[in-house]
Amino acid sequence: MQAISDPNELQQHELFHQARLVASQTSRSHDANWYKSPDELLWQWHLWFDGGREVISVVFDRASRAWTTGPPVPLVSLTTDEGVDDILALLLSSAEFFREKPKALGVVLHVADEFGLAELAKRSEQFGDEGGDLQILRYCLRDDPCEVLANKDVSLELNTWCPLPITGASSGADHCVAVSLSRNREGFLKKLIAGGEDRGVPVRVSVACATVEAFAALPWLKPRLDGAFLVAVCYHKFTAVFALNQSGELCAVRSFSHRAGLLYPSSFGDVLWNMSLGAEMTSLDVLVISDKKTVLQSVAQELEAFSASRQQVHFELLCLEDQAALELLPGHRPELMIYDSVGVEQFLKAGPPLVRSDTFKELLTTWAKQNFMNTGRLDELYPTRQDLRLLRLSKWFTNMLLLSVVGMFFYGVISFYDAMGKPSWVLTQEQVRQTESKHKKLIEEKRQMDLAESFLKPRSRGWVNMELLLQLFPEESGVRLESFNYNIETSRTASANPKAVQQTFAGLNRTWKLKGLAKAQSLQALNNLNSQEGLSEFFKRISTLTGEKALNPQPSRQFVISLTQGRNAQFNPQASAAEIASEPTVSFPFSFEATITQAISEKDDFALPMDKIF
Amino acid sequence: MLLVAVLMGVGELEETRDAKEQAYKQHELRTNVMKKLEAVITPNRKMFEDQKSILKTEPGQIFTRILDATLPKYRDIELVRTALVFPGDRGRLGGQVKSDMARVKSSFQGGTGPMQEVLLQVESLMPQTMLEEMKISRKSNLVSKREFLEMELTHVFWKAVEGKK
Repeated sequence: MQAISDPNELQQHELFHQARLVASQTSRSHDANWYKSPDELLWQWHLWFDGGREVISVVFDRASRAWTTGPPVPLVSLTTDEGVDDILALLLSSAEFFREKPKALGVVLHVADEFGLAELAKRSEQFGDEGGDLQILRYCLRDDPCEVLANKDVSLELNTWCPLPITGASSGADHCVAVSLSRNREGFLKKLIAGGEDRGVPVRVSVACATVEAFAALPWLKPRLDGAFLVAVCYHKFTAVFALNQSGELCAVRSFSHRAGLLYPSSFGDVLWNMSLGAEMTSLDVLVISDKKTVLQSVAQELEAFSASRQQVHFELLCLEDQAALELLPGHRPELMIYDSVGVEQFLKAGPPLVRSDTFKELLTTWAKQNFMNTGRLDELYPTRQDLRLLRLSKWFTNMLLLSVVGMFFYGVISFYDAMGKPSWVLTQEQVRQTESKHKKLIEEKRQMDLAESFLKPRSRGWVNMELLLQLFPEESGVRLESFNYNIETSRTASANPKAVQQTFAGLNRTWKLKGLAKAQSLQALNNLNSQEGLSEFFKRISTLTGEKALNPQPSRQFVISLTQGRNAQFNPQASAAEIASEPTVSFPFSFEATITQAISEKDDFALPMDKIF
Repeated sequence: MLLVAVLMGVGELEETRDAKEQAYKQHELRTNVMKKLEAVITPNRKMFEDQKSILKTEPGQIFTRILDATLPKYRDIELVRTALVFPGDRGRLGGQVKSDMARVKSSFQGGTGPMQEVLLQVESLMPQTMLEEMKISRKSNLVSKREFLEMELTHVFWKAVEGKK
């Protein structure tokens, strides 16, 4: 893996290139442990030191909630980084300290050799009014402490600060102080981080203030405190004193260095007395905590002497070595307890009186585990998890896109070859045009043929009409025909609707008009015609005789007859043969007039085409 | 860009292929229809040529020739032509028909039998004709008092001349 450059110094394309390198050469894109805080990891290594000779090394398997003694770390390694890589290799390479080989490691350095307190500028204290504002104060203390500290003459290179809310502070008192730690062990932790990166294993680090952690763990050691109390936690180099009011809320905190080889602050009784006055306590009740019985004995002697000479002190001594709650913790350090999240949760649910106060609730959830090392700056060098996810998504998307391009290309090639093999591909426009032209010619030829055939159909012929007359009135039928008129005409009428489909055939109307004289016996023949049945029968017979199908009755060929009969005014029943020879009309007693019409519809086979043939 | 280019290329190819397939289908369909048309037209083509030649003829002359050839067979008392006119108007049938046509109006005196024979002759030889009108009335000779029939006929002849629109 190449060295990582500061993203702020890179151009956009260089930044992208670096992100791709990180994504491809590290497990950051798929291992969430790179982005977790140390206390969230399943494999944790806790180092506690108080400036004495001993460094307590403890490993915590979070999955099994098991605390075991970790690899020994010489005190010198914390300042010179010597042998750090070997210790890390030992922790990561085997299952000696954990149930399984760790996939990540959270390292928490509990600093118990210093506990600096810094006053905040008055304006900065207002941050403490709400929890959200305290978070802002926390970021300000980390990035620009000069802005928020009362003492502006501080060095970012040497120290780091984190806020500690004084939840029970009275009005006018400080509601928040800044806890400071020196940065002289960050080199050790950076070495661990680098070692993890070299191995491709996430190593997440944190620097914690052991004093605040120990104070947060007080409910495990002393679940109940009656009335206001001063809690003095004695370490090798200093003693921290926390003042709790009757509600169990923190109302003041002080740090006192041990001087002149003492195991506790000089004039410890006065110190405590002054603090109790500041905290408006009615009596001086003190809880003294230490991991060494010798320290507690010395403190007891001091306080007894103070009680005898100055002011009554009610004090209680608490030796960590004797605490049942710390039995399972190597080194009996209460600072470690708050890292067992399951245990903390169970303890909070049990709800001992002390944890009902806001001070301990907030300490356990937020403030006790603050990281004094600004690992955010180191993390900022690398792409965020969201960036890497986006990068992975974009890579996946690019690959899919490429796959789609290749797929589409091959699909196109296959389609092209498939299409080339089909006859449709070789069909030319010229061939299509020729076929169209030939088709049109054939359609036109067929139309001409149909029209020619239609025009030549026998629709109306003279000889057929003569035959009709002869069949209607044969020789010696007793009828004298005076006149016969026949005509035929088209019946098509123009459509009123111009959008209607133009007719291509015209219907026909033909009319036969007969006028004459008849004898009595011949009237029967005429009367036979005077019905639809008789008329149809007659024309059917004529059609059969002449072969003229247009006369054959059909639904599309309607026949109608109109027959008028009357008496012949010239009839003379007594006429002689000579008279009849000279004037035959006198022998016919009846006259008649008949009009027969036939309407052939435009849908009939014998309808007349209206188009031209050519 | 590459994907868009490939997509456009493939889309273009698909479009071309679909167009060609469509054209080919239409071509095939048209070819099949043509085959069926050919199957119908080919056997009738000779008859159509005959029909065209009938429709192309000048009907007035033919009509006159047929009458001239037929009527001499009859005595005047049997059948005689009294008039032959070629009207210029399109009559009752031609008014709505676009086709070319000719009309002949002829008048005869005589009996129905000879008249029927002549008409059968004319109308058989000229199938493009239609009888538009026929009037038969009984008349008598003022001198001899002998009765006869007067027949007036109007024929329509359909015509078709190629190349004439």
